[in-house]
Amino acid sequence: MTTSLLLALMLTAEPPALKEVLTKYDAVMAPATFKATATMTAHRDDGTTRGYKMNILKGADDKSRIWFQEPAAVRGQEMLRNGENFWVYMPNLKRALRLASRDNFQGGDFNNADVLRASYAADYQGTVKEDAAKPETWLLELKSTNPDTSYDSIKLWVLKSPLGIPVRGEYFTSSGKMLRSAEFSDVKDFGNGHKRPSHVVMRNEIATQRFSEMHWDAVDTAAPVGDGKFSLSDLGH
Amino acid sequence: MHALVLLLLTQTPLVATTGYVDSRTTGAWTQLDGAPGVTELGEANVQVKLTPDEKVKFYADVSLFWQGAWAIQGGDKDLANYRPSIVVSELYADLPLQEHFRVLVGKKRIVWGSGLSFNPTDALNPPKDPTDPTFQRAGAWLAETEWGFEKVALSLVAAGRATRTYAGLPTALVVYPDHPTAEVVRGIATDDRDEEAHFALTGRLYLLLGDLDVNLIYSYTNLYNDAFRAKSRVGLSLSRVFGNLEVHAEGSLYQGSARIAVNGDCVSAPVMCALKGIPVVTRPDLDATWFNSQALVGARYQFDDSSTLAVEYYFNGEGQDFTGYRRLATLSLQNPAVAQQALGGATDPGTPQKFTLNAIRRHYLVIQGSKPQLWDDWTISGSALIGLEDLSVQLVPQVSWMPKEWLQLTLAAYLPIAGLESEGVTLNDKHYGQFTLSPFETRVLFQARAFF
Repeated sequence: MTTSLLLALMLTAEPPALKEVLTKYDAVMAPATFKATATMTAHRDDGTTRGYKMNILKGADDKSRIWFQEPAAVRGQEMLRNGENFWVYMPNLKRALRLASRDNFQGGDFNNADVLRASYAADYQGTVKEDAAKPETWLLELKSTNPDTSYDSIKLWVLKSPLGIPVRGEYFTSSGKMLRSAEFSDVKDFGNGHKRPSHVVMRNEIATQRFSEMHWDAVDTAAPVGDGKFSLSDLGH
Repeated sequence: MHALVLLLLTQTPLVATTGYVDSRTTGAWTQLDGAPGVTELGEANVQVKLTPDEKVKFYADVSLFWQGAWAIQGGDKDLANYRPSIVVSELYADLPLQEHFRVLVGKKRIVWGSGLSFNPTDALNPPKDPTDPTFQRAGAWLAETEWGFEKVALSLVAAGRATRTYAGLPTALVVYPDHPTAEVVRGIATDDRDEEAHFALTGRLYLLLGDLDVNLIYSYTNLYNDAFRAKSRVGLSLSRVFGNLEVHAEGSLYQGSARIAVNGDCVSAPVMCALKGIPVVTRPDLDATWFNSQALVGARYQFDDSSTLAVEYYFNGEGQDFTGYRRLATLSLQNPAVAQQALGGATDPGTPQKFTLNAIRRHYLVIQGSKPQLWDDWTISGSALIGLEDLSVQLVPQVSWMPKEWLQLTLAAYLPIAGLESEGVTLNDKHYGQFTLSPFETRVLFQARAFF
C-alpha cells in the first residue's frame, strides 16, 4: 500500500527544473574530476569488432585527457580536451593535431564530445516532461545553445530516482534526423558516493548495423588530478 | 576494494612496451644507374617507456633495419643506402621536476608547427615524407626545458648535430672528432670535417588565444641542418577548428638563402670544371641580407563517415627559379652523384622513407585523402604532391587492410608525372619534370606491419 502510494506520488510529481536535472546528469556522467579506465568495443557492419582500452582523466573546467592502451596499433595515442578545444597526439607524427568535437572517436560510433565532454547544463536548454511509456523516467527534450556541440537536439530519458542517471538518449541533427541512440545500463557504485551506468551502447542510426559499447571499469572521483596533465605541451610525455 | 581495483587498473606501469615488425617490398622501373629494381626493407621496432618514479621517465624508440637491393641498374652493386642500419628515433630522459616544468635530455622529435606535409618552422629534425608524414619519427639530439600551462607554454631547446655516425649510431656530436675516419686515411673517402660547432638553439612561446593555437618560434642555427652559419629565423604557426574543418598556417622568415646555384658552364662537364678549380655549385646567397621565407597554409576536413581530406599549399623560398631549376635538373640527369652531393648535404636522414623530396622549386600543393572502413577494415587513401610551376605530380594511391587488430597490409604505387614540357627539361628526347628526375620511374610497394 505504502509502496503503491509512493509510486503513484512519484509518477504524478511535478517535473523538476531542467537545470536541476541536467546538473545531476552532468554530475553522474562527468563528475568535477575523476580518474577512470574504460573499454570501448566497436561493432562494425560485417559483424567484426575492435576493442580499445583507455585511461581517462577529467579535470575541473571542462578539461579531459585520454591515454589509449590497446590495441597496439593505437597505443601511445592521447586525446586532450580543454573547453571547446580538442587535440589528438599521434605518436607517429610526434605531435598533436587539432580535432573537431564532432569527429568520430577512434572510428567508432561515439564522437569525441560523447566521451570527452558532458556539460549539458551549459550547452542545452529545453523541457522536462513525463513519458507514459517510461514512467520511471523524465524525458528531457533538449536544444543546443552552443554551436560547438555535436548534436543539435537530444531526447534524454533519465531516472526520476536517483535523479539524473540516464537510461536512453536519442541524438539529432538540425534537420531532425536521428544520428545516434544510446542505451545506458548496469548502474554501478564506483565508490565515494558515485553511481553511474557502467555500460553504454551507442547505436549508429545511419549505418544501423554498427554500434559501439563503452564499459567503464573503474572511476575514482577522489583521485588527485593536477592541472599539469591538461596542457598541450604535456601530450606525448 | 574499489580503491584497490582502481589502483591496479590505473597505476602507471613501470615499463610499457610497444613496437612492430615491418616488411616493405618495392618493385621499381629504374632509369638511372645505381637504382635497384627490387628492394626489401625489414624493420624491427621497439618503443619502451620506463617510469621508475613520478619525477623521471626514460623513453626509447629504436629500429633495426635490414635492407636488400637487387636488379640494380649499372655496375655498382653495393649500394650504401641499402645497407642494414640502426635508427635511434628517440632516446631520452624526461624529468617532470614540477607540475608545470620539465627538463628533457636525449634524442627527441619536437615539432611545434601545424603543417602536415611540411614544417617551415622546423629547424631541428630530419625531413619527412610529405606524402606520408607518419613515417618519420626520428628527432634530434637535444636538451629541452619547458614550462607548460593550459594556455601558455615556453620551450627552450639546444640541439647538436651528430657529426659522425656508424650504422646509424652517433659517436660525435656538435664538433667533428680530431681524427679522420679509416676510409679517409685509406683515401677512399673525402674528409668532410671542419672545426666549427654544428648546433641549433631554438625556443617557442605557445599561446591558446580563444580557440586558436599560436606558436611563436625563434631559431638560431650554425651549420646544423643546412649550410647557414649563425642564422636567425623567426616563425609563426597557427591552427584552429571551424566545425569539422581544421585550418592551419605556418611560416618562417629569415635573411638570405642556402639554395645552390649550378654553374651553367659546368652542367655538361662537371669533371672538367673540377679539374680547373671552378666550383660546379655555389651558394651565393648564404650571407645575403634580403628577407626570405617559407610558408604553408592548409586545411583538413573530416566527413561524417570519417573520411578525411587535407589540402596544403607550400611556398619554398629556397626553391629555384626556372633557369636555376633547368641547370640543376640537367645536372641531376647527367651527373646524379654530383647533384645529389650538392643537394643532399650531410644531414641525418632519420628513418628510411618511402618517398624523399628535395623541394627544388618554389610552389607546391599537397592533397591527401583517405576513406577508412570502405569495407571491413579496408582503407583507400591517396596523396598528390603537385609542383605548381611545371604541374609535375607525384601521385601515391594506396589501399590498406587490417585483417587483425595487430596486422596492417598496405599496397601503394608511386607514380611520377612529368607535367608541362615547357617548364621541364628535355634530355635525349625525353621530357622530365621535377618528380621524374628520380632514379626511379613508377614504383609499387607492398608493406606488412605487425604491431605488438
